[in-house]
Amino acid sequence: MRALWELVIGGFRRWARYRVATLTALLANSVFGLIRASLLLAAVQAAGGTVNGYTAASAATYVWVTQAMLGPVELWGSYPREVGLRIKSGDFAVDLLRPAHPLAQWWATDLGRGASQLLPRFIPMMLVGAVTTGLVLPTQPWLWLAFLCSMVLANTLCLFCWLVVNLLGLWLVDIRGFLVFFMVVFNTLSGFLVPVQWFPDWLRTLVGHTFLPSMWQTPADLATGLARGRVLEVLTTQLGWVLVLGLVVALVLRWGTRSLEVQGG
Amino acid sequence: MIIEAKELGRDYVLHEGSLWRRRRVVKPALDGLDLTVEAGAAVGYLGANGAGKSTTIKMLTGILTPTRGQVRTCGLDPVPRRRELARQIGVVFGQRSQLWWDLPLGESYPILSAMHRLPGRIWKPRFDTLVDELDLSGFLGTPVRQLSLGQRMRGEVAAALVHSPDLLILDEPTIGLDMLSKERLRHFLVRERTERGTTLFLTTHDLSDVQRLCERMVIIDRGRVAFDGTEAELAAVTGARRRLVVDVVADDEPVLLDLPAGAEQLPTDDASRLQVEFASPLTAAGVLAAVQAQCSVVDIALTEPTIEELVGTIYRRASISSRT
Amino acid sequence: MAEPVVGSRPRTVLGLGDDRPVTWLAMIRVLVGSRLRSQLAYRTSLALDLFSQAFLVASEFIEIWVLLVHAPVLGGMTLSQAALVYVCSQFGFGLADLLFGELENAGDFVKQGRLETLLVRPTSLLTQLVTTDFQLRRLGRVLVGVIAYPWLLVATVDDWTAAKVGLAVIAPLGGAGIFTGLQVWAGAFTMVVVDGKQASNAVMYGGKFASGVPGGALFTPVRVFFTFVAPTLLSAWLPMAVVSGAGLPHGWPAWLGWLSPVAALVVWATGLVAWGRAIRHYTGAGG
Repeated sequence: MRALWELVIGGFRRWARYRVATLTALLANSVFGLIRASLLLAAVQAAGGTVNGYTAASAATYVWVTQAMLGPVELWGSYPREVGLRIKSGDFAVDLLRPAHPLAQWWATDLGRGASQLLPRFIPMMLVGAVTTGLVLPTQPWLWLAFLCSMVLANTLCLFCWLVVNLLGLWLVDIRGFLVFFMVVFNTLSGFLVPVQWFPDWLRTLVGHTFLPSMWQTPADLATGLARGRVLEVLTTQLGWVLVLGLVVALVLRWGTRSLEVQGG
Repeated sequence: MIIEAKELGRDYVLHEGSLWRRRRVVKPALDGLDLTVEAGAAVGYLGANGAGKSTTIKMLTGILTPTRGQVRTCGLDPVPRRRELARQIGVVFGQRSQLWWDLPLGESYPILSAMHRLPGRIWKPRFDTLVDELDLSGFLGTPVRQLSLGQRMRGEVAAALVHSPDLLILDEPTIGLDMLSKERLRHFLVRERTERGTTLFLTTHDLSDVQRLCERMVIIDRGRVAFDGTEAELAAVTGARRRLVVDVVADDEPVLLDLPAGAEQLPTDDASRLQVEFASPLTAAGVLAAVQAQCSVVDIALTEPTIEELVGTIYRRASISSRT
Repeated sequence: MAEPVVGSRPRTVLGLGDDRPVTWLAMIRVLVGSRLRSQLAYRTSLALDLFSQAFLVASEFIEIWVLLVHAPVLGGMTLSQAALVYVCSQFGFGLADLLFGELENAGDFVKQGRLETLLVRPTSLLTQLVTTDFQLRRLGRVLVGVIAYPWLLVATVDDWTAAKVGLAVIAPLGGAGIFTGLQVWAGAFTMVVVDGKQASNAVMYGGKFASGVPGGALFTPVRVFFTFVAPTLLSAWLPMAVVSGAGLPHGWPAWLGWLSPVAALVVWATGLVAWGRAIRHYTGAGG
């Protein structure tokens, strides 16, 4: 436990150092947030004031919460990519020598990374949203707690998904095609570009049966209040998917290390 | 004069302290450097790490603007006429490759020649000569990233010479090379100079590079010229003491050698290893003969003083002579 | 390896004559040709890259499509008009990315010390940076433009005039001009602020994103910024609004749609000044 805690702290410290990167990322998130907010608000207005449960206020809140989440929650998997390269190069042998399971170590490091982004990335982005379009946020503290838990679960899910994709590198020479493919899938179907609720019915039903909304849409729903009556339900769903994908990535890792040992790599 | 530098100086501005309490610190990397090099000469430019060697090279090649003083390379003001100057000089950065990393070595040369706008009639015969003299033909089809360091450095030198420059600047060309590769490269450079009259200007912290290639050495320390002259003059100034290490068939007691004047035996713990320091006019052969006359020699090694030791000696001499 | 010809010497370079003086164009042919040959050697990998880029382009339109499922008109445009804007923007950006895409990495060259080796060559730094890592896989976006742009033009516009044909031809080219100019700016910026790639990306890719949507839907400050400061909206939304007869916001005249070549010239001229200053900054600061 203590070792994992150290990894959390280490992850926090490492990502807290990138000051210029944080500032420029905030700028990028703000520009994209403004464009996305424009579009969603225009659509809500053109549709007559509401779209599938979203009002202008909740659409704006959705945009800024998701832009803010880009700091702590890694939908695009740059840390798991790093781990994937370590696995491919064999450098992760060091992780195997430590007492904790490698998956737990990566999770702890990534948790530290996520936590380090709350203050410099999440909060300022929400402020930008509050100043530019205005936000409607939950007032009950327990909803914020649920939101925080949901972000941790979402980030864990993103980590596990990207680890599975990156682990394909153990068997394939070039996984660039897979990286692009999953980037597109996660971007479009997890609720990042547009809310999952706005999808056409058939697509929404289809996506609803997968882990994709748990990666991104669920925490946003908690922040916008769309999931207010179903807090426990959505968190349990997320946790379920975390366990399933955790199992998948652990199994893939096990096969992968075994095939490495056989090759003597 | 192919290189002329007068009172050349360059400062770096550093920001120290935390984000909130930043201080602007001006650090001179080079200060009052006077240097002239004649066309056709071979000059070794020596100094410890951080002495200002790379800064000088950057200013000579037009990558860096001097803070003070004047510099002319091939008669040109380097920074404003950088691209014009580039046609007349070749530069080898020992630590940085100018070859195309993922392409076979042989493909870098047509590209470089195109950049120099050389028609095939001009660059191809030159390239063929370089391939022969640097013995590149065995790995022209190998991607640069797969070459050994020695092979790559030969490739780099060919890349710097394909446009037949008048001045070849080499920044630490032998760093990391094994003895054989070093020797091969030095041999080629000597030949390039005698046959084409190419001026050589090389930075190094390996004295043997200079002894093999250059008749003149310039030593800089803390941004200033500490010494400028021939190797013999350096020896005269520093009394450059070389060290002969001799492994002998040992008795129980360490041998106390009877040595010619000017040579001095250093105390050692190991009875089978004797160390003798000496300076010119004594020669290694002479000292060795004296040792051999007194014990049976198994193995020998000769070590040169390092640049740091030489600079230290130069300064000690200077402070002694200023006191007297 | 594709060319395992150990010991071979390149005797002829793309049919370049041995005696002719090397023109600038011949030099570019050699520089880009070497990249092309090595990339064409891996055709499967290249095909996969082209396909995944085209897939990426298509997927990014899903956002606009979903919005237009709920709103019949967005920013004064219907679904097919919005698709036309999107494809036109991708076409122009794709051309620019293919030609100048490497410039945004100028900061990495500074960080790795590779800029010095480029500076001791007699070719301009801009030419070298643009050609040293010419990536054919960036062609995917252009291919989408080549195929989808004429098709959407025909499907969306029915009252063609000579002026509209002219504007339809000018738009992607002007867009490529604007985006390449912005890339010169981005290169200059990252050469000075080596960790600032994301900041220039915010303008560059933010501008690309904004240029591919019905601009009438954008907040006025955003629309003004991307029309008059980083003028990417001139590359697709404004000309396509004119061509397809879509309405413009109040106070936005239709002649704005014709401005992309002028804007490209301005961005390029200022970009080159910035580029020169960036090099002077580098040679002054020494990295």
